[in-house]
Amino acid sequence: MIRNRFTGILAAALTLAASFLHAQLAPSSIDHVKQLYESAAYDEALASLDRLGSKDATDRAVASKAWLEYRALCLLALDRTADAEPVIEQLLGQDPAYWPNPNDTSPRFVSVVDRARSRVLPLLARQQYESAKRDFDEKRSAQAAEGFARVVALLGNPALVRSAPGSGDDLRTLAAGFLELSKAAAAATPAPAVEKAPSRIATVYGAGDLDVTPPVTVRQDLPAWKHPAFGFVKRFEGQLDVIIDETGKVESATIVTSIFAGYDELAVAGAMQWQYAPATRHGIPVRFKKSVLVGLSVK
Amino acid sequence: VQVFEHGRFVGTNDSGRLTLAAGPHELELVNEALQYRSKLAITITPDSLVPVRVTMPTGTLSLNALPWSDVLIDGKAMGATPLGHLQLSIGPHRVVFRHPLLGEQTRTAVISAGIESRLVVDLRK
Repeated sequence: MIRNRFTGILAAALTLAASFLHAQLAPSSIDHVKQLYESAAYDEALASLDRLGSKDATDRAVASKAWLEYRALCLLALDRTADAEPVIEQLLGQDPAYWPNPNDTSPRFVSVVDRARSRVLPLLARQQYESAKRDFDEKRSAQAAEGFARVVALLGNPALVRSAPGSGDDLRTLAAGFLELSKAAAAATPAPAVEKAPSRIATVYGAGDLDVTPPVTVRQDLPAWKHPAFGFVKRFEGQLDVIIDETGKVESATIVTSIFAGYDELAVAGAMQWQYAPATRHGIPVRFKKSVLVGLSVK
Repeated sequence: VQVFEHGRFVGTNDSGRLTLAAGPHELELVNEALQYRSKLAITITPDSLVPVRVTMPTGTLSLNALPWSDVLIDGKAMGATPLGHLQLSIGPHRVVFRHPLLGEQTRTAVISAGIESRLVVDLRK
């Protein structure tokens, strides 16, 4: 009897956990937001986005492009342009090449994106330039070359050229000059002795690397959890970072914020089985550090 | 609107002019369909015309079009979709959705007092 009851509770809990994970990670929730938006139910769409969104909004699965797009569109619909602008800036921070198709998108939205881009991209480029310049000054020529190349790519972005012609021309010229110097310095520096497994010390890219296309999730399920009965609905959240290699396999998984004592190890073991289409940089697969917000809702 | 006095139907505003006995009157203005109901106290003096202007309440209209459109309401340009919570007087309004490549569609939106109405068109169809 007790065993049956426990099994029942566990089954219910797993169902709840699965549905919560589904809500966190699956596209169906965004589909619901899309339906609400398309039916002009803008307040309801925003409320639905709030429910979907994590409080700290650091999870890439939640702070996805669609999530940000619908949020910005709903805020614009409600004449809350000042609130929509930071959302669009966040969108551009994730994808500086973001360019809504003017045939499919309201010109109001396109225009706000244009204005945000002309503010954001030069700032991103300036930050990137300063970081690359530090690398250059401290004789890290290879990293400096990569950084300057990013600045040149960012300021040469056709979307920026269209929305803010001439903006950042000086910085681009400067970065292009330092790029050549960095390349020359890197070529003149003798290559360090290569030890075994050089690819393992290759750069790990992340969300802040603007010229990297993030990995696409193929499989990201969590293991079942045999938890104690709480007698009330409880929600646990934590963060897991995974490093995804150039083949899309998880190379390592680390708990950043504990989900629940005793479940963290299971989550790490499960995460090692996750599969992705690898991140790419200029079309070449690269290692990538991805943060995943894990949520469990149980009774 | 229909005009009542103590529950007795007196007329409608369509008739332009109502005939009432001289003296004070408590009128009730009603449009059930638009959920509008208000009271009006007037005093009629003998052999005179008492003009009464009634400010109609508003309701809200939220609009969207797929993929998007410019919007005109009763001939007035309101901007491009998405448009939420537009304040309009109660009653019917002619809404035109216009897209430079997909043409235009016209709808009638009936706004009720204190209620949010929604109107959506798919210009791709």
